Amino acid sequence: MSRAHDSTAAPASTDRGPVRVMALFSTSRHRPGPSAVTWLGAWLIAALAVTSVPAAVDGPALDAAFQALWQLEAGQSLQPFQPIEVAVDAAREDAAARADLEARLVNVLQGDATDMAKDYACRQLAIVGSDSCVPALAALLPHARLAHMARYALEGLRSPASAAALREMLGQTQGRAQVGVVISLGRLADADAAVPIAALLAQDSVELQEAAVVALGRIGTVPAAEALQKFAAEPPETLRGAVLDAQLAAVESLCAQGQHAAAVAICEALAASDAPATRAAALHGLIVAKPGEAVDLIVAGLAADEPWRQAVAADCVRQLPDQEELGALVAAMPGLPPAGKIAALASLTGRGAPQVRAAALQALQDADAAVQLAALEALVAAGTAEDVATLTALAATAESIPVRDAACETLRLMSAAGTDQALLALLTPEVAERPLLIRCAFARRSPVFVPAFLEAAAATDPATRLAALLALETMAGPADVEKLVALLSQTAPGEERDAADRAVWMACQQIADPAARTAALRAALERADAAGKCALLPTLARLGGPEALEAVHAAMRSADQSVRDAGYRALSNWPDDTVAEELLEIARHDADDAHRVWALRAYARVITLPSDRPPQTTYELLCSAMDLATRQEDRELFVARLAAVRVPDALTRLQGYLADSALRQAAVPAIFTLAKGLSQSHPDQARAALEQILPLTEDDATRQQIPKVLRDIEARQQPQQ
Amino acid sequence: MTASPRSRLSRRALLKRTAAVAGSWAVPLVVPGSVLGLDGATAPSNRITVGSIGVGMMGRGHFRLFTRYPDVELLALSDVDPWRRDESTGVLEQAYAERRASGTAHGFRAYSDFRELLARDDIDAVIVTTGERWHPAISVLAARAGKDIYCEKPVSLTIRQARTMVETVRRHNRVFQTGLQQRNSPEYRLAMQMVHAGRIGEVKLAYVSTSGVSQYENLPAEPVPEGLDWEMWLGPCPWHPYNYAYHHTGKPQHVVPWCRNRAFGAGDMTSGLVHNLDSAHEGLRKDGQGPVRITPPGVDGAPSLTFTYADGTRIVCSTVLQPGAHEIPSGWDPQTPIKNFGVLFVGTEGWIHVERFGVLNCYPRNLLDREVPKSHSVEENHRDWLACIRTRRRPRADVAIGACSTILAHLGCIALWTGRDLAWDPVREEFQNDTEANLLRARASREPWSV
Repeated sequence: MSRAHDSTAAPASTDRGPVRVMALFSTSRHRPGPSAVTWLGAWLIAALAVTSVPAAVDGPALDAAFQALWQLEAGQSLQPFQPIEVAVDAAREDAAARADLEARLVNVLQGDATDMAKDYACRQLAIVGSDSCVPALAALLPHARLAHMARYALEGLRSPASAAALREMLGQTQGRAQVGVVISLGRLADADAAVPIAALLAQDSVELQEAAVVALGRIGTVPAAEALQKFAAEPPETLRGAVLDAQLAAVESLCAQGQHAAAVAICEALAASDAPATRAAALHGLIVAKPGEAVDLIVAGLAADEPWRQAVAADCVRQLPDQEELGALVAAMPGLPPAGKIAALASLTGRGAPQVRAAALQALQDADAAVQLAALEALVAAGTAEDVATLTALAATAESIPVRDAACETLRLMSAAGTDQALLALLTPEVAERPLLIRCAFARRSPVFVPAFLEAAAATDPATRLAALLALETMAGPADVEKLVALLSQTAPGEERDAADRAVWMACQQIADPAARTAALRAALERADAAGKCALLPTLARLGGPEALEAVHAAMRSADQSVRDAGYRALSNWPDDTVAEELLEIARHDADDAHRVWALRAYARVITLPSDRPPQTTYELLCSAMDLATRQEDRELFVARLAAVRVPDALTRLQGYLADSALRQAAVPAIFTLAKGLSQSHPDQARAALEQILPLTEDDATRQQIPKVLRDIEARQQPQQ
Repeated sequence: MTASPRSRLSRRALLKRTAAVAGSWAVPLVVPGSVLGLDGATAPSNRITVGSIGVGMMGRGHFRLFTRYPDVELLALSDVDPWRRDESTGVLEQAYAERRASGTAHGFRAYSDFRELLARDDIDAVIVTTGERWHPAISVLAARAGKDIYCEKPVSLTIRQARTMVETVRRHNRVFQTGLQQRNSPEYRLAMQMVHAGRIGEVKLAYVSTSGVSQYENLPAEPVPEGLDWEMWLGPCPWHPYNYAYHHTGKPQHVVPWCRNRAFGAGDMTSGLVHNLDSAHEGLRKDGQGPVRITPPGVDGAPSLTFTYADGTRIVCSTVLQPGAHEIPSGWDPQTPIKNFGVLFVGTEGWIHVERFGVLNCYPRNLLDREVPKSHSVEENHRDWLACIRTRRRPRADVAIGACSTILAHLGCIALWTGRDLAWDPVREEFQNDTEANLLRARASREPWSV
């Protein structure tokens, strides 16, 4: 990327003059020449002028800059000329200052200044010049290195005098210089130049002919178009594209001038071509040139068999205004073949005009599913709240599955006012396909649906309840916690309870006050029967906090076995290591086998969560607890958790398990994770471990990643250049 | 549908044509059945034939991707630098080894002058990755020659050129895709859907990162490296002596080194920030429109470069939002930079922040209704173009989109260069009462280049 400075942010202080002063010329790679001292002096004067006089330049600084300008050569800093730029900027509202600067710049052009100096002067004259500088600029037109910049300044003047000077130079220049003059007259669309430029078409220079063709197209008057038409009869092969382009440009100009008949004549001549590309261009031009027949031409094109004709017509649909023309097209659409309808709808997609809606609704009745799909896409922008019922019906009952999906997608993306309310009105308990409607409403992510979701979550239909709970998981907020907790306490184990659990947890997490976060759950727990307590306890525990812990402890002391078990499970769900010691105690001494297992596994999890504890201590705690694990799956869990403890001892211990056939499979991915984590702090040990597991790993992704980590280690260990 | 009438080649025409091309490698004498599409391979008649113009750092990336597409056949490239021509030819030879062995590749040729490539009637489409000084002229000549075009951003060096490109492409019904791949990037597509669907209410403010503009440079002359066609490298630009800083002869070291000099480019504003501006325009539904006011930083109280639209919508360039200076939406951490060509859309009911590499954050956080899909956004942009070549529809980053976003970037440059609060008429495409700014809508271009 360019290393140009960032200049879109405001300057640190605003008392340093206009912003343009910040955009100083770069001097990078500048090599001071023999006259470096002179340059330094001029630069110092210039710098003083820039910093001390923000909106104007004092005479000496400007004099010095102009004096230096005459010798400007490649490689010299442009900094010394900053006063000229500042003066040009300051002279915008000062006619006398502009005249003075113009005279100085013309002086540079007419003197023996270097080409680079004259180039620079032309650029400034383009800003401050008037008709007074035209002769000096025109005199540069034959100059190979300066003509383009002189033409730029003359084009910028846009005055009769500059155009006249260019026309005059048409006969006094040759070769590339003449080509340049023709280009400039074309850019000015100088009607008076049409005839002399047309005469150049007879010249034996393809470059000049091409410039003349382009210029005539830009001029675009009747004489210019006629000259092009004549030349188009037998153009050089290499200029066919340029001539066609110029003719089409002339068509546009003629239309703008009200010369439609001449424009139509050109297009009709082109339409007789053998080349489809030319015929396509002609059709495009004809649609522009015959505004009264545009819709008919477009409809005919859309109905045509030739792909090029259909493509041109479809593209022109985009240009139709939201007026009668669009209505006429919509009226004609039922008669189009499916491909024509699809092409038209694709071009109308994105527009919100009522005519587009009418076309799309009409197309929804089409037997062709592809047409319906195109209509549904158009309805995203053009549909209204009134269409919601139609769309939900399609989403529920369309024969084609892609159409059903597309209808859901349209409902998801429609932005028309009242769409949410229309969908909400349909979400009644009696509606068929209520789960589908809930999913469509949920996709819109609007809070207006939350009460309806809460109601649906208590419906008799399990599919409706599940769809609503899944939506509430994302959409419910703190205000909904009580209702959600009530729902949770009534759910049976399974996916419904899981969804309700997540919905409550997500909603509670949004409550800022930790104590308040679990209040509703705790209150419900007190009121709940045994089954309800079993449903609520896991969620409560995952939220954590001292109040929740108290409630969990109470459950662990319950006389009801199921509640007691739920309490122990809840403790095992705890989100942090504040219960680590209690878990370890249970794992060591509890009489219940299941409680011991749950607690031990929970301990392995919480002890390895990120904490302020030194990693070596964590490692030791984990190893010590591992001795309590007797079941294979518990030992594997401890091996896996070792990967989270970033100490070399953990890696060594894991490598030791590679010799244990029962734990090798669990050790390999853990070694990869840990070695990768230690690759910067302990590269040698990490490399050795990775090389050791490379032949043992069965996972393709890991096998591919190991060499990459090894390469990174090697790259880091190589001496830096 | 076919790409163009010329993409359906008869076997006779195919043989005649390939025999006529003096490629970098020979054409098989015996044409196996697969050339006729008889063995399940992609038939030549269904392949889009492509020429690549400019294989510098950006062009090489595109070129390599195109070698992998089974429905594309690269027939030619052009570059003024011989090292680059040779290197990319080597890449193609390796990539097409299997096709050559099976006789389903039909010759390849590298040119120094892109006009020779454009003159070939067996090439359907061209990739233009030369640097913006050349984008307009090559695109216009390609459109006149009936080629479809993939052109890197910025599409032009000036506002006037961008408009000419749109007009020419439309006249000739060409399929033109701009290298504004965020239009086809999954995270941006999802973000635009969310903004357009009204997830964050009415949106009339977008923040994008800041960026710099170029300055005129006058670097010393260095010997022109052997084989480099410096005159053609300069093309329409005012003459400058060769300097390595502008063109890294051989292997390119930077993406757009020339951009440092205002003579050849406008700087990061048009080469990089144009991506952000383009996405902001898309989200704000300003495609085809333009601002009415462009305010540089420090002028009229603007904390940073600001584009203001007729309906009051604003695009503000600021990588980090400053409390007190910028409007900071609820839930947005002011320490969070807007980087990686990202945009922050601020609505009446929340915000959406999207960046490359799958970054899509929003507030409220539950607005995101699906996971951000993963894909190669440049490849998606290519596929969109290739599909549209077949259907003749407009791709997502069509020429009008490319021109509109490029013009927006140029407007920012002009505001920064002049240091003035500029009033812009987006319909007439002219500044009000500012001769200098209007002058900067165009540039001097050397003969014989007329775009």
